[in-house]
Amino acid sequence: MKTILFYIILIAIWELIYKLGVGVLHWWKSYAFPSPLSVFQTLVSLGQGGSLELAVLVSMKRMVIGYLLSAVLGVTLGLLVSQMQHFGSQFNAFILGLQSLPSICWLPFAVLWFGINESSVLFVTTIGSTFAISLAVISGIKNINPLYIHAAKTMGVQGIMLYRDVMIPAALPNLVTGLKQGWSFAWRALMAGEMMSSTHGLGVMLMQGRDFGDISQVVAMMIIIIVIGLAVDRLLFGRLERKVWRRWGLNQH
Amino acid sequence: MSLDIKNVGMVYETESGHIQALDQVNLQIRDGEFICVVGPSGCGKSTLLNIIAGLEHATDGEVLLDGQRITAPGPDRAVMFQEAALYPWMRAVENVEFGMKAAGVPPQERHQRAMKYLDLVRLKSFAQAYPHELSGGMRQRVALARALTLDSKVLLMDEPFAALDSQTRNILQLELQHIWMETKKTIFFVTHNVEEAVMLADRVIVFSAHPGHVKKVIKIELARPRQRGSIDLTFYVKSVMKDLAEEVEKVAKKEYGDNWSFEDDTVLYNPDSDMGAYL
Repeated sequence: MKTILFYIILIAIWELIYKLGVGVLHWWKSYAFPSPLSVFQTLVSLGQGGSLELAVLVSMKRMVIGYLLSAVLGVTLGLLVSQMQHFGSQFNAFILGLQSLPSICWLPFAVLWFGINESSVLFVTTIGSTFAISLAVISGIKNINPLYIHAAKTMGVQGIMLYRDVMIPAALPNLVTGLKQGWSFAWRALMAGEMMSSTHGLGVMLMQGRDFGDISQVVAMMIIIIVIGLAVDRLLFGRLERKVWRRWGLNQH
Repeated sequence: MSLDIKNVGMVYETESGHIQALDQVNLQIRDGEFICVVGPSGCGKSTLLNIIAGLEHATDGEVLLDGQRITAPGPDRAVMFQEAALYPWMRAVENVEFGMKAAGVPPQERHQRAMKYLDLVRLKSFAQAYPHELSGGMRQRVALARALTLDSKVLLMDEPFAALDSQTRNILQLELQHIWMETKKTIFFVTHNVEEAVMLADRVIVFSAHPGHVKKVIKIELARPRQRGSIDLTFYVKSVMKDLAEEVEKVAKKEYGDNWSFEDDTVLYNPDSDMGAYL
């Protein structure tokens, strides 16, 4: 109820700014600032034409593939680095550096290696979240209560069982938080990748809006991207995170 | 079972030089014996326990279990820590089963044994609870059940009741006596609580501090189960206290400065004191 009210107020403010800025004060030309109504109409017409559904499906498919790849790679890399006897902290810093590099910077490589196609967009998406997930795994493993490992060792637990039954479950709350963060990094990377080098998808439709001078379409796409991002974050990862944290007896954050 | 602690020494290298935590510790523990080690905090008694457990390595001497030199942790030496160290993602019964799982006990059998030991610590009805749903005392009892299922040669307990409130501690001390009499386990129990040590032990080992070594061994020849506050117990507590007081003072002096003394300031100055004006 509160949420709905919040959005009604937000749209009202938007409309007000539009009326004032475009109609009364002439800050913007009407092609530079859309009204809520025109954005809504664009959304409806794109939805009816089927191009919106197609774009969402294409983007989500890429997202799922790219993200799953990055989850596998990120967890593997994280486990490897946390196992290192030497150069572990150097690797950690190196990954931190790579993580701070916006993934779109990898696009030139991606285009050279894969060409302007599906693979290069996937590459950018994957690399966008791999390092974030690795870092979460590394810190998750590092922050395991040493008592858990001591207790396991005194019970004769070692090798794979120590990892499978003690260390990974113990790191899971941090891991889930990392996976959630990785998702939003991947989502950003995908949109950037699509805008730069793709032929369909949500990012492409946003760029089409720019190319046709249709600011309503740009804003409509922005809204769709936000809604999907928020929905997955809240409904999927948020729930998973809460469930894990509660089960592990940790405080909510 | 025999546990031989031979000339064990432990030196920690720190930035400000090295610290001798243990020096020439010698101790023989017989089968089925209940040993309590008391000493001031930082006297190295927990270090000794960790060395027996295999979690730390002595820089000098060795520990032999049935003639075998101890080099690594293993299920023949079950450990109970000050914190329960239960895995929060497992139910109580799964926690108890976990050690047996590592030992390769088939699921059916380990479940039965887990339930048997949960019954022994009177927590059968909480078998399906998660650790965060249990109280501190209950968690420690689950940890005890888990340690007992390992069927180890010796049970090492590192101040297992220190973090509990005193009522819970009393109950667990009584229960541990019963369990020890039932299972005939060899127990190596570290504590800083003299009364606890006297209540539980066959022999109390008084540790001296800086460096830690065995100062005195006191045999406690009292019938079991021993009750808190009995006169015999108090007598032993007094005599152990006397040996310990020197050591505690030594540590206190080190921490609070040389002019610190037990004798001074036994009456605390209270600014609110009205010297009996209420009469």
